[in-house]
Order: sequence, then structure tokens, then C-alpha cells
Amino acid sequence: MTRRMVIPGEFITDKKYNLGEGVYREKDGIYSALMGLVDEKENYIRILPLRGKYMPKVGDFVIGNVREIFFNSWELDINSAHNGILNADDYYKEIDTFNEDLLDILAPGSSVFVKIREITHSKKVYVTMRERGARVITGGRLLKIIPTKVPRVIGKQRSMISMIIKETRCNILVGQNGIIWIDGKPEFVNIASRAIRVIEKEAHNPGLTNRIRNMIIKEREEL
Amino acid sequence: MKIGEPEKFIIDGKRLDGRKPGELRKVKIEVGVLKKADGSAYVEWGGNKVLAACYGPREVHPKHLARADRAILRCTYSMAPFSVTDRKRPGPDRRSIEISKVTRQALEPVVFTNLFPRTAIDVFIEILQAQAGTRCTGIVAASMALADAGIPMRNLVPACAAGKVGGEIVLDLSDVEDNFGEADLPVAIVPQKDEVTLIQMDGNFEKGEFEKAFKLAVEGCMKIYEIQKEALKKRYGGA
Amino acid sequence: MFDIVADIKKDFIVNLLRSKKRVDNRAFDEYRPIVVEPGVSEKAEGSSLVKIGNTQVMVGVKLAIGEPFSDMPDLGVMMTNAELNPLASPRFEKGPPDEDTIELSRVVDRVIRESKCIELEKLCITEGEEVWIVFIDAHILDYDGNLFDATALGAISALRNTRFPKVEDGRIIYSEKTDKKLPVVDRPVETTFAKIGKDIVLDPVLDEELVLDARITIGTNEKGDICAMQKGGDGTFTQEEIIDLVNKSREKSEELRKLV
Repeated sequence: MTRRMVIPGEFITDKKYNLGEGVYREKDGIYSALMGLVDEKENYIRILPLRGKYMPKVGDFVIGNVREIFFNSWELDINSAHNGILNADDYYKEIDTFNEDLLDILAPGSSVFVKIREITHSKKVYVTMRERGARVITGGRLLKIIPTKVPRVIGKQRSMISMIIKETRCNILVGQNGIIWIDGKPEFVNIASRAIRVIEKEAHNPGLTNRIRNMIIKEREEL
Repeated sequence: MKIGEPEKFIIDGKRLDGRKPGELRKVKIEVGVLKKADGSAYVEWGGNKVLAACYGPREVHPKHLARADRAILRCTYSMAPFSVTDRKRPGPDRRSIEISKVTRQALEPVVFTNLFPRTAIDVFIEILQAQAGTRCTGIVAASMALADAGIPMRNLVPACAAGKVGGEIVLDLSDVEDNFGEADLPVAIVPQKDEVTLIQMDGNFEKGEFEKAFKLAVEGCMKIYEIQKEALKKRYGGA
Repeated sequence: MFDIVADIKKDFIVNLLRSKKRVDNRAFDEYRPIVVEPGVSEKAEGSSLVKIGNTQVMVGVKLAIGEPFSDMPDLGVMMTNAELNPLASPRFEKGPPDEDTIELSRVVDRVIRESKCIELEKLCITEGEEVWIVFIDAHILDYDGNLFDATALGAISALRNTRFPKVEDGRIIYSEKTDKKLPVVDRPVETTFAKIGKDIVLDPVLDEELVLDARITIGTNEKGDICAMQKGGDGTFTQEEIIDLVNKSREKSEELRKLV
């Protein structure tokens, strides 16, 4: 199904809907506040943005980078409007903050795959590693893509990302914040990176999974 | 008469650069031109070449500037030293600081800052080449960079100036007209909403002339608005 | 900046205006009492103290001899500067001028310059080499809103009583003034309106300024021509409002012009 593309200030409809993300109401109807695609449900309308910063949501896994270290917490850049806070208590194992320096555990620049645990009213974003799948990331390569393209990279029921992992034999973690970690044989990491870049660029095109698979297979053969 | 001042600004209904009184210079807009920025735009308007980048919403530094109920919008208008004939000293001067302020106030009315408490939305406008009308070009570019960054906004903000040269009201002054003309009236609007977000004026408008120039500037804004819309659809319309 | 009271005040002021009243009981298009005292400084070549209600601005004019701009070799030079002195308000801080101060300087400069009230061509001493430079310095002494109108009024008032100092062998003797007046041929003034909610008022006091949505300053000359304009604030005006305010400004300017 092709969705209608709209830009900020564009009139969408005079029908009655509940308003979701990226739309606003004026006297004569509903307008778009974003550049994106119109997503109309039975009684609900929203815009799927084509561009935009990642907005933290509880439950999302993101990749963060240690920026600051405090007595019992780390501050992470999570490629978002707000930094993430990882308390020592949320580290995957017990830390004795009186005898251990957090600097020795995760130094500035370290990357972690974490889950967003809580967002307070004052927009403090708390993340945790006490979750299945959360981990410290070492080695490999980080890729930054437009966060709104993340769902396409993952695919329906993880179909796209599973295929890439299978075909490149790489380890891949996709943060909802648009940061992707790829680890494996360097030449395969390169292939996976290129594949993800193509998805980012052509996210709107149908039949992408097969094309990407063919692209990976072809590049693998050319190695 | 000042050095370089032409004797006549309009000859046989045509301006010195061949335009009709109500005609814009050539305008070209492109979005998504920078890799690192969250949103960006490049605008060529006559001889003006202007780049705008938007970063945000992002953490506010210094932190005490953060607002609990909304994002703060910050705009920086800056002229490259090589953008003008006589080298401009780098860094903000009084003119740039004033333009930065009115640019922010021209855009603020359309941005849904309330959606992003405790964050900053930063827009940087760099004048790479200047040829009369840089503030309007900057506002147009900034508004496109905001849209390109996916910042929710009520509408795009077009801007355009009208002025008076040789006693005639004309649209979108060229540099000669700006230097030697009698008045300059830059305007920015929210299209279809009858809201004026920027208006400044210097020079001399007699009774009646102001109204005429003002209406012409608003018409110019609407023409720019069409080019803005087209630029976004062209860049992302394949979706 | 602390505006602890601003949010509560905004509702209060908006509601008040909706019932056609202002905080100080003035009509929407009425100025506060205005006092203009020219010649308050003996050291300056020209000066004036302007009070609009509780707002007080002192403007001094100093003259100097210097080089003209290369593209205007036969014209004198004028410069306007405003200082938001910390003594005038807890809101003002020491340090380099912020954007509000710069905007004030430039908007006042605009009306003086664009009205061509100073005959700059008469300030040429030797073409391309020496001209008179007119420094207009405004000091805000007490800030209770509407600095634009007060400062512009102070500037034109000070310019109109500016007299040249004595010059001997190309050197200025500031201690001796001559009878020769600075050639000032017009009386430009600025009028400022604030839009708060749906209402528009002339000459906003500080309480009104703090909650305004949009502001517009319009400068006119004696003929009633528009010479300068500046919109401020994070809100907007309709086209009709602007045209209406331009006409209103012409009317109200006459009240100010009578004072200089």
C-alpha cells in the first residue's frame, strides 16, 4: 500500500480522528506537523516520520556511549534528545561503589547495549543492563542510521535482520536509537554495513528483503 | 549621489537586472545536504548562497538554560568572512546578533517546542555568499532545515522582502537596489494563516506605499512557500 | 532572568485586557505621562533625560572628528549605543551587551538614520579625510517597560540640543561649546505596541512586556512617513493588525513629537 507523503503545514483531512504523532487540529481539519507518511487507522491518524531524532521509549533497546562518570552512575549518549543514565545498580553484576571506581568498569567511550527502564516526568532517562540481551559491546563496528528507518532494518518479525545475520555470519545488535553494532569477519562486516545503508536509503521500496539477500550473496561471491 | 549609484532603477518597466517590479530573483532550495546535522538545507536566492543546519532536540548546554515545559529554540546567523566584497571579521557582530534574534522569533511561532521539554533545538545559518536579502534567505533555509530534521512544526516559514527604489515599490531587492534604494521591508509569514512572524523595515515609505510594499512582500512569501514545498516533496517524495 | 510571577501574571493580565482594562488603568492607546528634560549634562555636547512612567533613559551625544567611511567620503558618521545598566533592573547584568541590548541600539539607530534627521553631508570637514562623528549613547536608568520609545525620544531630544565644541588648529576643545547647533532637520520618533493574547496596547509597562506575545515598534518622521520598523516577541501579528498599527503609530507619534 502506498501512503500519502505530507509535509509540515499540509492539510490532511476534515474527517474526525483521534490524533497520534505528528498531526494537529485546526478549525477546518487535521494538518501534518511533520514530513512523513500518513498512517490512517479506523479512528486514529498519525504521521510516520521520514526524518527525526530518536525519542526514548520505555522498553526499547538502545546502544549508548559512556560520556560522563559519576560516583554511582554513568551518563550515556544515546543519540537522542536526552542522555541516558545507567546507575551502578543497573549494571549487569553487583558493584561495590565504595571500593570500585566506575571508571575501571566502563571508561568514557565504552559502548553498551541497554534497555530503557524508566523515563521520569522531568525527562531523566534511566537504562538498565539487568535484562536479557543487554551487554557491554567490544570490538566490531558501530553504524549510525536515521532512527526512523530502524523498523525497516529489523523487518517484520525480525525477517530482515535475521537474514543479514545469517547471510553475513555477523553478530548484529540494532538499537532503536539508530545505532547498530556489527561484529564478525571484517569483509563480512563491510558487506553487512553496506546492506544496512541500502535499506536506510531505500526503506520505502517494497521487496527489499530479497534484493538485499541477493546483494549480499553477490558481494560474498566476489570476495 | 553615492558612489556606484545608478541614475535610474527602472527603465521601460524593467529593473536593472531585467526583472519586473513584482518578480523574484531565481530561487533554488535543496534539503538534506549535510550528513552530520539532524536536518539541513541549502538555498540559492539570486546571488545569495546560504546553508542551514538543525541539531536537535538535544541536551541543553549550559543546563540552566533548559526549560521544564518546552524546548528552547536557538538560532545563529553567521556570515562567512569571504561572503562579502570586503572581508567580514569572523565572529558575531551586532547585526548578526540582531538577525539571529529576529530569525528565532520568526520561527518560534510554528515550532511545537512544547513536545520536547528540557531540550534544545539549534539552528545554524551560514551565509556563504551574500547579495542582498540574506536574512530572508536564512529564514527560508532555517525553516527547511527544521522540517528536514523532523521537528514538528505548524508550517514552513517563507520570507521575502519588498522595497522602494526610484520611487517604485518592488519585490526582492537586488544588491544595487538594496544599497541605493529608499526602503527595505523583509517579512516572514505563516502561510494560509494570516500570521506575520517577522517584519522589519528601514528607509522611507510614504502613506500608502507601506501597505503596497507589505502586500507585495506577503505575495513574495507565498511564491517562496511553493518552492519550499516542492523542495521537500522532491527530496523525500519517492516514499 | 527570573520571572517567578510571569505565568500567573499572564492569565491575570490577559483577563484584565479582555475586560478592557490595563494594569495601570490606562486606555489601550494611551501613553504613560512623559517628561523630556533636555540638556541634563554639561559635559556632553547634547543630552536629554526621558521618563515614560517609571522608565527613565538618559541620552548623551558626544561629537568627535574622525575618518569617514570609504564608500561615503563626504558624509559624517553616526553611531548609536544603548547600555542596559545593572542599576536599572535586577534583570540586567554586567558584561557584554546581550541580544536585547543590541536590538535596542539598532532599532533606535534605524529611526534616526533612516529619517535622515541629521544632515550628515554638513558634517564633512575634508572630503575623504575628516568628518564629524556623532556618538549617541543611551543609558537605561530605570526599566519599567518600553525602552524603544523612551530611548528614541531621548536620542532625538539630545540631538536637537547638541552644539559643536570649539575647534582650534584641528583639535577639539570640549570645555568650550560654540553656538553652532548640530544640523538636525526632523523629529523622528518611535511608537511601540504589545500584543497580549488578542489585545494590542500602546506603550507596554514591564508587567505587560514580560507576558507579551508579540511586539512591534514603528518609527515615523514629521511628514508621517514610516522610517523604521521592528517586530519582536515569539508570537505573530495579522496583516490587518500591522496596517492598522502603522496608521495608529502616525497619530500617536504626534503626541511624542510635541515634546521635543
